[in-house]
Amino acid sequence: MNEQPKQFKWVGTRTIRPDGVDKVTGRAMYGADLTLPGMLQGKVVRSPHAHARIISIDTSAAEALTGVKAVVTAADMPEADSKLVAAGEAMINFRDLAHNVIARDKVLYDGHAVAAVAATTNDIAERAAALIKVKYEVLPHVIDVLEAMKDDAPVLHDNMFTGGVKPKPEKASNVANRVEFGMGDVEAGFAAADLIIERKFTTEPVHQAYIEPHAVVADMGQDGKVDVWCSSQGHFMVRSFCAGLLKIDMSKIKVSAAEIGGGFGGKTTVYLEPLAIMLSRKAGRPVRMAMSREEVFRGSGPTSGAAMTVKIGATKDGRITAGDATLYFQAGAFPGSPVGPACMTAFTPYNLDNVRVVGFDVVSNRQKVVAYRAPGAPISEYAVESIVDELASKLGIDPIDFRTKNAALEGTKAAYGVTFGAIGMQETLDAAKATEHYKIPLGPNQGRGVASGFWFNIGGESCAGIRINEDGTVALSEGSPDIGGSRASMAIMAAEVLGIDVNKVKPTVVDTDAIGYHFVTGGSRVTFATGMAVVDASKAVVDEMRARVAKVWEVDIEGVVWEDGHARPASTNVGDFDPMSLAEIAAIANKTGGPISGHADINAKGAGPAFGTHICDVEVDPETGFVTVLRYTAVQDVGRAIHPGYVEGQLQGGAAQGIGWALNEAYIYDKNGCVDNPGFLDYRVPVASDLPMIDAILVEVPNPTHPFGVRGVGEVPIIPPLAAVNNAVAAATGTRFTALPLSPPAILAGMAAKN
Amino acid sequence: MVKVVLTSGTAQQFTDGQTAVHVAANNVRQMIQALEAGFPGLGTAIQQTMSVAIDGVILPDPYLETVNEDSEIFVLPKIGGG
Amino acid sequence: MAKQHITTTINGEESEYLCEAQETLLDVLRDQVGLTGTKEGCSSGDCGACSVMLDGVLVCSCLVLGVEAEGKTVETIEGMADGDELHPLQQKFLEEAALQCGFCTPGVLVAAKALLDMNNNPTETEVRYWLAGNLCRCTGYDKIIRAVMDTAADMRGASA
Ligand code: FES
Ligand code: FES
Repeated sequence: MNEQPKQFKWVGTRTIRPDGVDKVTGRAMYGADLTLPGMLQGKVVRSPHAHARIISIDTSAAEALTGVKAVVTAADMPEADSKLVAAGEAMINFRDLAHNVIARDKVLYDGHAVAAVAATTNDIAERAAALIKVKYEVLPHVIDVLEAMKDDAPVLHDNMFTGGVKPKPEKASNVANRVEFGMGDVEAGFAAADLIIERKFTTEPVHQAYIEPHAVVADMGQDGKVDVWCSSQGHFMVRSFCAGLLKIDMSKIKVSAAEIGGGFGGKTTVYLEPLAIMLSRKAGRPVRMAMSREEVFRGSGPTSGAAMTVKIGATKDGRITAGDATLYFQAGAFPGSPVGPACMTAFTPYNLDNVRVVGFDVVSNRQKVVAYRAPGAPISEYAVESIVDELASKLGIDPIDFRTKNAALEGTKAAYGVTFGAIGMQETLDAAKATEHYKIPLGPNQGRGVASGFWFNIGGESCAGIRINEDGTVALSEGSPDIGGSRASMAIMAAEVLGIDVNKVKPTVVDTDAIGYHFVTGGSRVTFATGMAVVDASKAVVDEMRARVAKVWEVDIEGVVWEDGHARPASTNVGDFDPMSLAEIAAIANKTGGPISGHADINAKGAGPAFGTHICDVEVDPETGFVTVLRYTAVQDVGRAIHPGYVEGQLQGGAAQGIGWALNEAYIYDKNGCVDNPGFLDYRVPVASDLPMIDAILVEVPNPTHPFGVRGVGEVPIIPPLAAVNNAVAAATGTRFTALPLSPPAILAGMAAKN
Repeated sequence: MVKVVLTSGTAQQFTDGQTAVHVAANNVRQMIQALEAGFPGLGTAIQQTMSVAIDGVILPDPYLETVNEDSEIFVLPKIGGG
Repeated sequence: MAKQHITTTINGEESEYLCEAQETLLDVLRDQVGLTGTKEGCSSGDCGACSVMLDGVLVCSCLVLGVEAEGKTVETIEGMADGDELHPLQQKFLEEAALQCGFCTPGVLVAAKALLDMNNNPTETEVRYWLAGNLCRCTGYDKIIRAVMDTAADMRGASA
């Protein structure tokens, strides 16, 4: 645990979060908690087929049911423009987005929405949904990524030709795009190697599995103005997507961010929101829609599964000479898997001269993927880190020492192009090596695994407004939905700059009418980018207060400095004035020029790249193949922890999700291409009794572009666990596994094959 | 002239595999114009789907930033996150 | 179908509601009584977000019918604090950052209180197994388990 750096009063302390009491008393309002007068309940009708043409939709019986107020299908949505928009991790086509929200001619996966209905009660809405008759012509489907690439595979989109290759293919296929990154001479690198390991790996799609299902309330008035309340990682994203899909002016749509019950990337796009608006428009009444858990699994995006080939060579003394990888990523029904970032991150923890990574974005009859924490990186780095571990072990080198010999440092050129500034990869290795955990002796059937991970972190658009109230308290407005305690960090940063008690600052996530555009909460950007806006707005307020005091003292503004929450004379030359506190300045604000406020509207640049190293101990039951995680340590360079408690929580939560990905989680499809496990009973996320305590160790190599050194935290911790667990299982069993999840039957089969 | 480095995939698509190209430009806006003129489609692709990194800093919406002979310029896909 | 008239005690207050035979206690609490602190994460008894006490027994309210509460007492998250005084578990969760999104929190708190009311000296393993029915996707459970154990230690200290 880090000590609070001396120069800060609030940064680095564990304050009580401003929204905390609401959340422990049940008062906090989440997506499904709002009720409006006259509100209807909406339900979605979903495809039972993996791939089918829609012949007809008969809504008459549903419409005739008493209590039904509106039914909508794709015919109620204008056909969308073919235009690229940013959606979480990737750019997606607006027309694809529209067709994912509600199927137009074809359904492309089990659970694809085809119609929606609003009625006076949930029960009536459900009965009406069952009365909507959709006639399908079932088409052959394809689920597996390698199958989908075959010449004779059923083609999902007959107007899709592989991008990124020359010449442009003449035949439509399921391969949406090819990307390639690299530097140096990979062949020469392998020629210089003493040991080369090449393996094929697979991972399954996993769901973000936030505990709060998607939920929205939409209310469209007869004047065409719409109020939307929803659980989303970006209410500005919801506004722009709904405006674009429904061709409504943005100024007519106001979106308020409900408290959000987890997202992890999965709430960076729209599903229900446009449908709720369409239903409300037709019914003339507010409509609430909430997904069931089954709908969350069948109708919202997991992340990709993948098939990969990775080859790495090293010299006897442990220097990596070349890395080569080919990644095939499932995009789901529409293009846009995170294969690009997967390629860019694959080898980035290391300082390599010769790298080549080729990626393919492949569609198949699965749920359209959406961002999930560090999109793509856990998958590609799992494969690379598994081979790195095998190289170290075959060369007889400690896995942390092996990584130290190759670690990316300041000045290292990353495989995706840029040259790193100050980064903390090596620092995480040193801290991991120094842990007690790394020295604990292991027993029989036990193994220890190490893995590292890298994520870029991002900046983007954020705004903040700071208003000084008459009594010297502070209202802080910003527009980044708070998914894990960010309001606490914003209050801390404002209090630090203003020099006042953090409890005098009240942060609020305001609606889309009240502040400028914000990019989604994601990419570990909020504490960095929105934090930067908060600091800039706070500084603007400080300057305004200095100006007011300068007027009172009848001196130049340079004659007034701001220290510890007070305006003071810059030097004795200025004159002998008593310091004025923020509250005193606030009290006379009306006499010195009116209310005091400061604003910042920025597109933040200079996000700090972040690295982590994890250690995992497991015990494998040789009888059953069951893996127990005994100990877990997550080390990460966080730049600077504004609120260490919530930063540690990010590391612990990400590690737990990664452990679930490694051991249990996977989408399972039946022979018809339908999801076989759309519930928490069969799609098993880690529960409290599955896990040990997770030690979070924060390394702080400040990001020079952020006023307090913030890098961003939330993405990195989900990257190393997949390989850390895999490597620990290899150590415990003496067998290298190359497919996730490491379920007991898979482990037994692997161990049997070895004996 | 500034040196712009492309990923090998982008290069195969637009520049016949040339991963480093030189154009005359004082800022990113001019650079994108010059790239479009020299390699039709590349400038548009950069604006729609890519980021530019200058001296190690990834810019999500590059436009007005100045560049010169000493700038390290990379064109890479846009990065988001969860 | 005619609605049934149910009389219960919710958080110490006599309450009446009308509900359909198939309506769950969870839906009744959220939609009729207006207590939305109890959350729905799955409706199948797998996530624990809907945990409440029914006649002193911890239940998933999504698996209980509204009509089953007739004549019984129901305790929800809204009744956990004593006026403006938080329950020690609520206070500890805030101090130790044992919540992130907070969506699992009401269910976790109700379940944890049920444990501590029975056993004020649980082992880590006991806490982990007791809370195994309460999914949390944000925290990795570490800080939740610690907060429950630390609250138990405080309560033992206070009563010693
Ligand atoms: S909603 Fe009752 S257990 Fe999940
Ligand atoms: S805090 Fe988000 S699910 Fe537990």
